[in-house]
Amino acid sequence: MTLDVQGTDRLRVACLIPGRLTSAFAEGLFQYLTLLVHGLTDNTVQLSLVVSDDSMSAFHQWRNYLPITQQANVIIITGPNDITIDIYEDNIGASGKIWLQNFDAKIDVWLLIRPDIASLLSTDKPIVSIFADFVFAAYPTLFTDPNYSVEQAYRATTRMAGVTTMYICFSDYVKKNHIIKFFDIEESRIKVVPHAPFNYEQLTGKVIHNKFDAARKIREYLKNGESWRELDQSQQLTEFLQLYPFEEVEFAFISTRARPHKNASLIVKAAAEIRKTYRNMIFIVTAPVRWVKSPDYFSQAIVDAGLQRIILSVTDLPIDIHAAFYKCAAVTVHPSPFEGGFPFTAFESVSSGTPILIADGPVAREFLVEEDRPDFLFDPLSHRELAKRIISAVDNRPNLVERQRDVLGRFPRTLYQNSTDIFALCRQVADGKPFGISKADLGLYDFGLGSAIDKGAKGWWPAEPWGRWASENHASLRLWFPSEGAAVTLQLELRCPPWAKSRSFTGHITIEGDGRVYQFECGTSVNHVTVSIDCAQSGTVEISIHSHELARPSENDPNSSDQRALGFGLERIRVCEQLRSDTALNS
Amino acid sequence: MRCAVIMPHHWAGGMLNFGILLCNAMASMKISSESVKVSFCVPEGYDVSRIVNLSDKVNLVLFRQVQWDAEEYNYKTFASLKPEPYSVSTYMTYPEALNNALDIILADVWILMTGLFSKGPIMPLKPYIVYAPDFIQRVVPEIYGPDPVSPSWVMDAWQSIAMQRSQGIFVTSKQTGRDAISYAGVSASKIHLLPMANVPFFKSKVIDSDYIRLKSERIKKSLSQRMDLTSMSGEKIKELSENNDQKNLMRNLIKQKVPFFLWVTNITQHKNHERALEALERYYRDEGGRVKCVMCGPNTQWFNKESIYPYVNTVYKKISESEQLRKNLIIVGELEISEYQIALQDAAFLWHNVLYDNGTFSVIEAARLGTRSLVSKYPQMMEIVENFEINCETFDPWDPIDASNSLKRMEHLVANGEVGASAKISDEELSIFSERLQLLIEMAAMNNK
Repeated sequence: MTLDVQGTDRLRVACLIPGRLTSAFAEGLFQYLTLLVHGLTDNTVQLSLVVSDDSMSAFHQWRNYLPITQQANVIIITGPNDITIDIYEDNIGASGKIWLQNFDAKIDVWLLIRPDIASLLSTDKPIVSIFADFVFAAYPTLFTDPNYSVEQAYRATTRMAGVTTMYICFSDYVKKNHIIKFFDIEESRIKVVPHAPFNYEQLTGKVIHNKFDAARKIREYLKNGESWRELDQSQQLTEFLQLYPFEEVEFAFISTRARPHKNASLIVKAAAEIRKTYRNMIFIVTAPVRWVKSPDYFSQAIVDAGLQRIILSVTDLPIDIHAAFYKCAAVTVHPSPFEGGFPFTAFESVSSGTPILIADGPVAREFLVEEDRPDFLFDPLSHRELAKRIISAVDNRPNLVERQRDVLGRFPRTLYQNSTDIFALCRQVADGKPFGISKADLGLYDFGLGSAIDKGAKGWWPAEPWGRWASENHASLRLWFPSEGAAVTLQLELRCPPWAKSRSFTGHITIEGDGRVYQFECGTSVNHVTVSIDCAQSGTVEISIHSHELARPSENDPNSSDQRALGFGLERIRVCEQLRSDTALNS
Repeated sequence: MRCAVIMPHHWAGGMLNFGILLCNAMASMKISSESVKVSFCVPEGYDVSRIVNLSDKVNLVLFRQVQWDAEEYNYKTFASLKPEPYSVSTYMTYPEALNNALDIILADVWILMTGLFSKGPIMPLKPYIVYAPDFIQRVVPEIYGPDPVSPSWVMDAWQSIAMQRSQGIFVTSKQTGRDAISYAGVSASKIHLLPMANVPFFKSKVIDSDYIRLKSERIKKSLSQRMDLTSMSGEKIKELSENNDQKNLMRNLIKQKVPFFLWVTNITQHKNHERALEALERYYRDEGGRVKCVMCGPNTQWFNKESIYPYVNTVYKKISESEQLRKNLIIVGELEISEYQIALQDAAFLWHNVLYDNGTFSVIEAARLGTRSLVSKYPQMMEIVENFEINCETFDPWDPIDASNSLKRMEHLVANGEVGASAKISDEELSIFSERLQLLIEMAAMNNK
């Protein structure tokens, strides 16, 4: 891996995109990244996207759609799977650790696109995390998606809250009701950066002259057959869509995934309602629809209603074709009543000249004053209302879109401001210490209950009032040393398990960036030892305590029910001025 | 100029008549001062005795649908087509004439009476135009069943592709034209609206005002006498039903001047039986309806007993479990034309309760016999009502309450003597039909390279 680092002033931001993403256009995430990058107008930021091996081609494809000048600001790097795929745990293997260590050395700050990437718990660099929303906080009981583990995500988010310096979210609602209320994160660590309006056509960099031009582009694109489709479905729809007169047909465009909370089944019910009026309207959705194998709830609803030839799916649309669909559509519908921010679809649609109807919800209300709401919002529980509103929006299209354009035009922010604010925050965080790790000022640091030395410390049993026992042969904690600081001496006060008076225990300490090994022993006569280490590092430094063997309290004391395997215990660390150079034990 | 009119299914009735109408109209055309040689191509095994009134100038040809295979085609026809991938669809089909007939191969233009072919979209070996009678499945998908990849749905999709690749589509209603655009995905520039030239039955019979007055007085009298209808129904209906003799019951109703309305239907789901039965039950039970209902039409007698067809069985159960329906609904199956005419003429009114199709001419037939209609409101039907200036009443077919209320309203109308009906039929329609069809064929023929 080689980073293209030009100039020391350039902020090196690493953005981890977890998962296996096979299409650059399947998720709203890509849209967010596109907007973020478009807001960058100079070369002060170098953005490194760390993705899984399986996501590489999707991201290269995405980058190809960026303007050439901005492509240079974005580097795409493959990260190990135990960091990019298994994100809910910090079980990084040895090679993953080395990768992270090396990578950390080449960046200034992490910008995470979600708050639950616990595989980065042990990064040495400060973290800024985007916290779009925590869906479970909005719908605590409604949905049980077998593919999504709320517990895992919750636990990982909670753990990451211990090491994430700042959070960015897109609405006050999420800030208050998800981040603060649900995760008890301090308000001072959260910055709300609402979405900024944008012109979708400008964003694509390709001109769409009119509906006819848009439909021609769509048909040309579909001739390559790049939308996902089941084989059985393909037999019916692929060629059909390649010849479809999109410019002549009244259609509602729904750019959404079909996750349960997206409320997409309302579209099915509304479509069935409109069918009863005999209106010749079809619905084009970007969510994949399955007719045959294990249909999801949305697909099942479509098939059950016999709407499979009325609700048509076109997936994985490149940004310019996505924009072409907006241009052709009679109306756009955003069925989800909850989004972390004001929906992008509104800016995409209205800037393409197509009105949008948005499901009424707290976040949409946050950004729309009361008198503007009737033009945008509909009751997300009423398919009959939606059906009426769709027809009314199509019948009053020019007036409605004009009013909506005025409203969105009053949104105060710009893409440039948003990107500037976000990267300014990254810069500010990069200059400070990582959250959750103590700055190694002179003084005494307890490692017991309530200690805040390093919230990401690993290999320890839960804290006790006096300190913590190592739970593994290798236990570690981190301290952050300001670069301008002088060399100091660390005094680690270690405990040997007190029940092992008859035997001695040995161990050694290593310091990240210091090749020496500090060995120690205790047990036969004393049950504690203080190890002094001179330290001249800067930045985040990992201190590792290696216990050569572990002991169980129950081995020596038959009355003990404590079956834990324990290594050395750490009571506290004293940071003092460096006294002399020979305090370290011989290696 | 040679044209092949291709009817790929064993249709009788309206579609066959329309095919004959097309052939006869084309056989009398002259294109570039040349007579048009017309072949009417019907599927292998077709009962050709059904074909009556076909012009002598028209060749009758049998054919079968064959899965497209370029080599096979070249071998059989001495053609030298390259096996180009004309379509991304897995299969394509073409009509292969039987008995070594060359009518299909030599035709300059094909006129497909539907795009529904069972072995794939039609192979565009010749320029072709397609008749689109309706797209019922857009609104009533139940007619093709719940499995989206069943042969019916696949064939429907192939129809769309065939239509998209055609030289033109012709329809006889604006709404079906709109369906062809949105549902079949055909560009509007290919859609051609032809007048509704399907000539209704009883064209020559026009009822005079005296008949209507007398009929009106009779119904008014019957309804005002509060006659005991149960003596004619109830047990009697049950008994006759068991004897499978509901036609006699209908004949008795007519003979004894008992008012009834006629529900002309068949057994497909777009005929809206379930909602209609709900409306009928409500009409008799809650509205105290006094006019009996006679259901007629092909295979409707199946509703009188249990069936292996789930939908028919559902309708049967609904009827058999309802006391009101058992007492008041008489199901007579298909009637001979003469008997149908008598029943239609004698009925208090005609009930047309359909969710969606290309509209029915039975309402025109009824009007010409002086019988008013209660018609479900959907675009094609309203086009017919408007085109032929029919004075009828309407209701929402999706709403059984509205349907039931409308039946009661109809009862009041006929009880007040308002049974008269009228329709305006122009003889010009057929000539306009022929002219437009000719233009369409000429346009298609220009693409025959």
